[in-house]
Amino acid sequence: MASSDHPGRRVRRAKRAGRAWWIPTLGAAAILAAAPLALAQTATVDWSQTQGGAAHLGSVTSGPEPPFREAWRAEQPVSGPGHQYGLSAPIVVGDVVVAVGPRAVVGVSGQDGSLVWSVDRRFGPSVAPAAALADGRTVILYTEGFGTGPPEASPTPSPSPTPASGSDEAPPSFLVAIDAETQEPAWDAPLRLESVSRTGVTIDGDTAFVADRLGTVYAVDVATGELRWSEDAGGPVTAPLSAADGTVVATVQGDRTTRARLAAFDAATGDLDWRQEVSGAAVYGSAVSIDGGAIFAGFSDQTVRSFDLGDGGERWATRVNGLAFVGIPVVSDGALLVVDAAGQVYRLDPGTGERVWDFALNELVVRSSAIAIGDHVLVATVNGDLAAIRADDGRLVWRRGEPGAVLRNLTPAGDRVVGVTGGPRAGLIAFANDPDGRLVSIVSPTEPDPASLVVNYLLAAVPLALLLILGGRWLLGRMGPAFLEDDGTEPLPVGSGSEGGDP
Amino acid sequence: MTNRKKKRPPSGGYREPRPAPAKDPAPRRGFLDQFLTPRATADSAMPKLRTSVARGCVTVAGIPTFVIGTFALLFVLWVILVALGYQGPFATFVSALALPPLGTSFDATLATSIFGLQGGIVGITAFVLFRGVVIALLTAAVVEALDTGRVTRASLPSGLRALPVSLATSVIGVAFLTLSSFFAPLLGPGFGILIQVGGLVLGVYLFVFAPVIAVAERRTLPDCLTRSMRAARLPGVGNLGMAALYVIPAIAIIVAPGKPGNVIGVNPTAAAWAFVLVVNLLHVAMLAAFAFRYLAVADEVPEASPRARAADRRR
Repeated sequence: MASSDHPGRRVRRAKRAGRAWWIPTLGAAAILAAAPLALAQTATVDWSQTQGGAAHLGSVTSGPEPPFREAWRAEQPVSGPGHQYGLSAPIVVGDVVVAVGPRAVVGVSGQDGSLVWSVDRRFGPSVAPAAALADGRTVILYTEGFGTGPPEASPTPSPSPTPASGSDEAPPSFLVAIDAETQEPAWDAPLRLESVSRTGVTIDGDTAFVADRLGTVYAVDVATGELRWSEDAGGPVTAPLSAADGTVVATVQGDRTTRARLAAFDAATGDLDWRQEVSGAAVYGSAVSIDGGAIFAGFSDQTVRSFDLGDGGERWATRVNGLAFVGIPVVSDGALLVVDAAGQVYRLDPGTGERVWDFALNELVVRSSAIAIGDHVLVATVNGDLAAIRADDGRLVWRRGEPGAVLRNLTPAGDRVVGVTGGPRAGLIAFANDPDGRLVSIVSPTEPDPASLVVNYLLAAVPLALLLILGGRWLLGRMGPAFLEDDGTEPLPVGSGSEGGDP
Repeated sequence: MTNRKKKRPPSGGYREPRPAPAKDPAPRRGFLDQFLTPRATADSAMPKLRTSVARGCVTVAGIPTFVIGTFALLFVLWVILVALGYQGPFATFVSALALPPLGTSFDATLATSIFGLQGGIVGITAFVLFRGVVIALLTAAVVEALDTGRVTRASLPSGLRALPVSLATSVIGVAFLTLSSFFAPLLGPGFGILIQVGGLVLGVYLFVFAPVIAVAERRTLPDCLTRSMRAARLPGVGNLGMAALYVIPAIAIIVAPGKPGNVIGVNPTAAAWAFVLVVNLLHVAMLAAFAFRYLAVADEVPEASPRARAADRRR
């Protein structure tokens, strides 16, 4: 399925004007000095794809702790038709934060946010790339091309070859690999997909997995781009694929007549291991996270469910409050952490689904999952809030807001936490620990506070009752009773002068 | 409380019309005969909408039992629901004392929120039963208040007698909701909303008088339901408008964004409490308004056809 009609690619590297001889020298010295630190960071942070790894656990054992301060911003204006397409969830490759934009893949410095490189990309959905070591080099894989949509989309950002076969053919979609060091193509040719892919790329070992809108799941050799197998998942797959223990799991979205379902394939052969239709009224589902032989996913019927990785049997289902489905569940140190679309964060028991605690941020969370760094759960909201909740007891310890600027897709990057922002300053934003900041300890509004409950009730009820009763009694006296006992006489017409007083 | 003839005082700008001469309805036969016939004369003593609403509001606000009782009931209800695991939003409580089927919709939402989709069926049944009890007792109190100007313990037995009818209207409310939610998606988003709102208006329009009839006239359950429909269909009295006047603003309040208490949480602010208390008191006031309207025209509502009466007697 390799294709030769892939557009030419332009690689741009950040300009460094006015260099003097001493700058490289100083730079080299700085790099040497920072190397141990960078190595230490690489050792503790592994965030090479959506929610960290192929199992999408969404957690790291250590990293920056709250309170946070803004460390840097890398503005990347939204683009594409209607100027509504921003960056994908970022990944971390060494010291470079990589994100896919609608028309380019960008790499920015994790330390200061400066643009390191940019590679043109065929216009397509901004979905997460993935990085892996292959044949001694690091390669970055991403998908490009919108397939048949959106209709107003220009297929390429720059002049590109006409599709090889037939002018009526839909604009193609591809899986592309570049060398992380040189940004040159890593494969002889990109892999052509049957339809647009919105899953992003998942890499497990030496195999990359993507799926397209039509439901075809592809397994590709990371080093060569050779297609190992492709199978039909049985419906549209738009959430990232997950892989662990030799199994690839796809969430197949439902529609008006079908419910969401899971499909599991043997990662090596593509054989269908099992298919599980989700009970209840779930139509859409999140990508799954996999840990300890269990699968976890959120669904549009306000549930988080767990399934057996071996046979797909449902282990438990727990309700959440948010109307829309939750982000990818995070697995961290024996805890299952999910955030629903209404911004309520839950810690569940991975074994039983029982709720340990919850915290209602009461801010929408869209296209974003929580992440766990050490003892804290970090959540980004549509209103631009970054919130840190203690994983042990569910108390909010830090929160920062920037109204009007969407924040999503948090990613740990060394001693920074990087997120994607929207609004007028769209792009990437990084937070670092603020030694001068203050932590708080706020209980969730879902925890009953009897004193506050009673006081607020009385503050409202007592004045209202007095006002209503006094006013009502006065008016009732003016109006008189609703009915008179019938005395057999004809009713008195209004205006006769005899109807003024109370009867 | 009997269906004795009542006369309303002429305050509030209301002009008492002369009663229309009683006519023997022409017997009709056929399917749904008792539901569709007979219709009475257009010359009705039904109070105007404005008069009805004013009377309902003043009756409820002017009698401390309603204000204090409603406020206390809402607090207790909230505490119970929080204990059951409900986490909000508190703003949904604006429909806590809404009349069926509007209130039934609240029951369904609450039940599925607390017990999930599977356990929700049991939850809905429990909440519908509770609503039936509350509406029956409130109706009895409202009828007594309209009749005597006060509320006493004597309304309690009347309320208990009206319980089957009140429960029936709640169950019918569930049927209305189910049917409208079944047909709404088939007709697309625009018509779907119309069907759903229309179903709620129709439910209030046809059955809102039934508990009042049960309290005031001690009729059988089927007779209360059919008589409620006949009362609703009195021509030229604006009952449909009154039902729409109640349902549409109530829905607007439910879906309005940014209202106090519209977030997840179990400790509502004072503003959220004030909002919810006032709106629920308005629901009770509307119940009083509907009761006032029925009691004003009770004598005008035609009896069921002889065949229906005979069938009712057999029951």
